[in-house]
Amino acid sequence: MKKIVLVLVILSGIFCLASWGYAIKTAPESLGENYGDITVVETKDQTQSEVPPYFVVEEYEPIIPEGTNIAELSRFDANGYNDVYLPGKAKDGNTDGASYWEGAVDSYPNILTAIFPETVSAHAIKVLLCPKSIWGARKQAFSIEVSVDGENFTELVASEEYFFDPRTNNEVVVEFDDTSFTAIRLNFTSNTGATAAQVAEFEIYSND
Amino acid sequence: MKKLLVVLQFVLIVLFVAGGVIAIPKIRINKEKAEEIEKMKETKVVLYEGPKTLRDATEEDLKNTAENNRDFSLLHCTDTKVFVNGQESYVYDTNVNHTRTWVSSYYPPQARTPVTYFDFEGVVTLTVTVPDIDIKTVKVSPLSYGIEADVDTDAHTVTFTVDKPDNYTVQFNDSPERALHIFAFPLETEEEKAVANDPATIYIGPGEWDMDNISLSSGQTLYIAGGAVVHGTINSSFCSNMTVCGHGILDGSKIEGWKGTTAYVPLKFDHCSGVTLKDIIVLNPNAWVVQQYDSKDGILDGLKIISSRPNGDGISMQSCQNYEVKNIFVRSWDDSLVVKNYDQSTDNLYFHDIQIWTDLAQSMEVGFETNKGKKPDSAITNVTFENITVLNNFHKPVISVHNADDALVKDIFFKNITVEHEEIGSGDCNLPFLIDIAVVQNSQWSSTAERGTIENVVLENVNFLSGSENVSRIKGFDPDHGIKNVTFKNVNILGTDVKSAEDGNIKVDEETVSGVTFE
Repeated sequence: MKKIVLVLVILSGIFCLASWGYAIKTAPESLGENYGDITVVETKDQTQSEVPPYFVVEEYEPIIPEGTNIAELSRFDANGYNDVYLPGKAKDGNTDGASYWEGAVDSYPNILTAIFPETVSAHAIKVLLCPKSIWGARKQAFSIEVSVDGENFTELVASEEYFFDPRTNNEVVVEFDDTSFTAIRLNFTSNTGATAAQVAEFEIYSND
Repeated sequence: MKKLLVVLQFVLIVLFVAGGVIAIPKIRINKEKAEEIEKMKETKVVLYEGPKTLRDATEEDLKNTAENNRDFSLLHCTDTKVFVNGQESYVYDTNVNHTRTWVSSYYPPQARTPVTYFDFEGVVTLTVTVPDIDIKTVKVSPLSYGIEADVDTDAHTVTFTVDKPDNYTVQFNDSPERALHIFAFPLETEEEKAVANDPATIYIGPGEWDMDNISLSSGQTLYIAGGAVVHGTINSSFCSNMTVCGHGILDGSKIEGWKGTTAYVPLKFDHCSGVTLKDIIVLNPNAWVVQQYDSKDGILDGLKIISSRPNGDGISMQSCQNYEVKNIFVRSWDDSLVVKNYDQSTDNLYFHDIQIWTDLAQSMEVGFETNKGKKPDSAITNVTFENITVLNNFHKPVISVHNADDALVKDIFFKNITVEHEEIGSGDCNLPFLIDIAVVQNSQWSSTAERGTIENVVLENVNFLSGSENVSRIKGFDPDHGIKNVTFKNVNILGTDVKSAEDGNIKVDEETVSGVTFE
């Protein structure tokens, strides 16, 4: 009995020492706050904000057709419009912000017409959208039609898809033989950038 | 003597065994600590230097005043320092808005707050030093992580560890002012790095850049690298499969506030499909932040958004279908997440794993406009908000389903919503409800002559942890334009399990509402 108790004392002692020994041995050392693999991504050496390479735009000189823009002599009308984007906004000399005509949504053809009080002649038109890059590039298809009586229109330039790109002032110029009319209209059938035609300015150039 | 010896031997046995047993948990703790330290040793961190061109914020910059009275620029923060594993992380000072009242001049006073970000994998120790703050209390959100920060009041320092890339917000002394937002991204994957290096990707590297705007074409990817601050906006119309990604900042501070006229929305996608917006940080928008309009099949993942100017809604889903919106942080000075119909019907929107801090208006809003486009059979259906943590909501309802038009609003789910703190009813709040479900006619929001209905709204595992006591409302317009089937399941408001309308202080209009149940 005495021996058994003595063995138990020794075994329990060994267990105690071993446990604490292992606990002390396995106690991990603190890493502190500086540890791990740290990468620092360096910034660019700049003295001022720059334009990213992709966004550097070549200087563009807007196209100004020969003659005078006579749009202001006319009254603008349309076969429809969206929200506050009335036809008159396409001849107010302002291409910014909400100053544009937008045709009735999802209802092509969208037709924008300049009606003159008397016969005029022209040899070019220029269609503009807001030149800011927020007006992303888009294609609009339209034909140009003219009338001498204000009621019956004939095709002057067949329908074509034109590319409007803010990098080139979001403008399209179409030239044609000098033509007389009392009304000229743009007949839109598509716009890849909206659900209807959009025109910030519709300029009509005459040599008269 | 023999007896005493035997007793002594038994006492020794008991002491030795007890001593050994006491050591066992210590061994287990050591093992866990060793594993943690191994994980810490393997930790990888990517820090990003800020642009050298950003000015240091001064005391003058931190004044709470309107944007026309001070420099609104994104700045380098000087009163808050953050160290990640002992290495300093660049801290930005961006604009936030503590005003709880609409300001019709569009010039509300604006404050500033620090923001930092980095990438990591493993365990990081974050040390935050705020010399100008006498730290009495610290709250690190989300509270669900149970982070207990060590505070050294003499050194004005707070230290804590995190082991999961996520968004963390540190608030001092129970104040929203100068709260620190920490955006801890996961390390970029090889796939993400490949996208950045793809020659077809439009890449913007570290530094400060003036982009103005880019209209993305179909299939284009724009990558804004960590360390970049890009002033400008991104939009697209009638295109498909565009991606915007990277860990950089898209900043609108160079654009003046929209003042109700010209909104330059930082991320605006109209009539698009397959839009992916991932990870970028959006600060100082001139109006609202993310617009998805008449678009479908998109993913918004990991965006970090802070807005402060009027109409600064965080994510505005307008007439969209099949979107997943996840892992996002939104702090906004107008509705944080909002779903509405401006044109076609909305269907299948899944918002999940999102943190929200709403300084003004509502956190999760369906409505008010449900048929602004006046379409026949307009509807908003299958909208789920799940695993949402609202850090703060200071003004209008946290959860709201409003139908101000003639649409059918059906199957709206709010699951696992934790509201850490709300002060609804502050300022000029005209909707002093925790939860508001209502069919209304409203001169500001209604476009249709007829009214609609709301059906099947489920609130499940919704927990309001702290805040002011407020009523909730469920009210139709009339018996024919009412609300049916609203389920409250495991909802707790400020410690009270809501098993009845009375428990939750919920005002149910019996004439226009049916099928309200509590589980």
